[in-house]
Amino acid sequence: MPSPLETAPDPQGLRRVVIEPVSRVEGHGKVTLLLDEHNRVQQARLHIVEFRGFERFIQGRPYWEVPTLVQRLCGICPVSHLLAASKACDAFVIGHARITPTAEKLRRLLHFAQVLQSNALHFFYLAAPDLLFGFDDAVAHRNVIGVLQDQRELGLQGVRIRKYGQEVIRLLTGKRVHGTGSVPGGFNKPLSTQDRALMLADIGPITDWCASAMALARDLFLKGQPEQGAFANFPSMFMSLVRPDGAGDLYDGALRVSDAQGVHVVDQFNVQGYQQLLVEEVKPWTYMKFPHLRALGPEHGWYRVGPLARVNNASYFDTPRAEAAREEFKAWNHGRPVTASLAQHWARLIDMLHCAESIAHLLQDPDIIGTDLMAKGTPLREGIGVIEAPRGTLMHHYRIGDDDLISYANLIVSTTHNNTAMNEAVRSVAAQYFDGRALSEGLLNHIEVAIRAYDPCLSCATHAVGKMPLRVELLDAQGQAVDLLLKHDDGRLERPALDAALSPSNWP
Amino acid sequence: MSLLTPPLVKAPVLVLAVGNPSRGDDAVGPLLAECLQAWLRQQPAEVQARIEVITDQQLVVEHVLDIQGRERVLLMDAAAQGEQLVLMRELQTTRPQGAGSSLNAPYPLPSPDEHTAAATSSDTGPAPTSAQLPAVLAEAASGPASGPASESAYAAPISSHAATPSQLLSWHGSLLGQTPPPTSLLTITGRGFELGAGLSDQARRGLREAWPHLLAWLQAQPSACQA
Repeated sequence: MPSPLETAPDPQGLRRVVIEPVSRVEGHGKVTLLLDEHNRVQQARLHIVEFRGFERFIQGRPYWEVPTLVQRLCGICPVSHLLAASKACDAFVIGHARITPTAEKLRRLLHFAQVLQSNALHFFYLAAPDLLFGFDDAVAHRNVIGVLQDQRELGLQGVRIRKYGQEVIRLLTGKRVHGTGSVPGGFNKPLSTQDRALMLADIGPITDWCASAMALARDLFLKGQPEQGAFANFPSMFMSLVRPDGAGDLYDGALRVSDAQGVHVVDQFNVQGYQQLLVEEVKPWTYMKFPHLRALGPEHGWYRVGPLARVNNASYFDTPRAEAAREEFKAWNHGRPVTASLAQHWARLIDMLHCAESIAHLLQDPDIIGTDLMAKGTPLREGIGVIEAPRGTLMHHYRIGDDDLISYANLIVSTTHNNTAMNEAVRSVAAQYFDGRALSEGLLNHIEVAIRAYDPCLSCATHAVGKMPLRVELLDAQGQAVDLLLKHDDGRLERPALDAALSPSNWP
Repeated sequence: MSLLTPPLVKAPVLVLAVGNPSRGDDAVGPLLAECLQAWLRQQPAEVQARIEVITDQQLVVEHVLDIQGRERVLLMDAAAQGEQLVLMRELQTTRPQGAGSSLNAPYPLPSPDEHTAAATSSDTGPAPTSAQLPAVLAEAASGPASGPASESAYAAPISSHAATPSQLLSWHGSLLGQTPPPTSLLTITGRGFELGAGLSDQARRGLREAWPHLLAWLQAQPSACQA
């Protein structure tokens, strides 16, 4: 499909709007908008500065340390990294053999708990304020405290869903944070009947709360039509894992890539060959790479991952309430993939409901309390593990030397897969809402809402990131600042005198 | 019993340490927690039963359930910038009056120089020697140096998956309808937070200087450390 990104024939002649950093996403981000001589947005660049050092961080470590070590990459989804690394490092213990049924089910249980709690955190605490109150609601109210003020029970349900997921993770890994459980070759701790009983006691109401939240997200999206449907709506391909029969699967499967019409461009592609399918383009203005389908090139081969991709791609879900929700979702767009960015939130909660139902199902499976946890096989020196993390497809790829130390590491995290799509979302929104004259709070709000729909995982940064105000600069074709807008951490806007404000010492 | 049922008996004192052990000076909170746990193992069972130590990578909303029902809470974390290397502050746990009294107002953090209960490293006299420290802390304090500086941790807006201490207390009030327990914040100002970096010299010194503050906080409350 044609992409307006990177297509400006003479980017040096364009004006630039710089927005940095982006609020209510983790870490640091900056947005640059390039305008043409008619003040129309031609290009968007979302700069994310924290995606460096992952591979260097891992290289030289013993492979058996890696699943635990990589959890420290992310404070929100450590279990996703644990599981992707475990799957990759299985090859170093059992080669091509499969882990035991009990080990796989325990890993799935762990993964469902992780996606459940992460999706709950995103919806109740980051997305709900925008959806409940509207993008133009006062910033002082359009936040989680506003949600708690207006809908306390909704906020409490979010906390309880999150807490439940965290407790399941603690019971399975032995620790609240940075536990193990999943290890190369299997799982290192069986689930006791007592702990299973604890998990079972709450899963009924948890599933009901997830269903209610999904209905709320759906209703808010539908009520927001046609604006929400048109917001950051652009055609793209979608990539996710599916089973051999096309069912959506968060833990394992093969890659399916569908286009905006729902045609499967790629299907049942073995993840072990991901480097034949994908290529990661490097650009000089960002540390983030731009993955795309090798066969289609950067202009036409980019895609989206995450809940929207999963719901669009799956032929079905194997749990009844999530499947009914998926059918409803697909019916809204007459069976075609939904391309609206804000439908991510609806899809994310279908995901969450699927997780709750899957936890309930797994806890009833006799294998889940089995004790055959470690498999055997002929070790290999290279391993690739792919899962569907909360924000989308997550790939870990390692090689080890004869000393069992990691000699090669390549990680493609969900936010990297979504890189081009997020840029396109920002460009789309900016093109729609920039009035061609001056920066406005409304424009900033809309850009942030678009980015939050993808929930870019910058949380791999330390939590000690400090203030995250917005700094917006409007630069003319000669690079001179002609407008400046500051958004402070309390939502207060300031348009300071340019000369003084442009001094870095006066930056917020 | 269920995962969502609060435990019938909670330790009255909670020490909640946050930080990423793989991000340079961000590790100081978890390291202090390790140190405290080593110290607790040498205390009588009655003392151990009264203090719970929790470590997490960052503050998040469900920590309100950990705080709920405690007599006292201490949060321990790295600060990315600050005048004092080590700073102990009492946090405001009642909603401020006046213009900022709406539910939208996170409880403000006192500035170091305006809060009478604040204690800094300069109040503590000479820092203890490594010999006075539990082994885990002495080892951490002699580790490698680290990378460049970052920014402040405690003025972040409601704009992240993670919470600031003041937001957490505010959420406690909003969600549970209860005044949070008296809560203090112990910070060590770090210099570098890069992935894979070790502790900076400054953070190592901060760990040594923070330890007596931590013990003093625990011992200031008879119920915490005395059977």
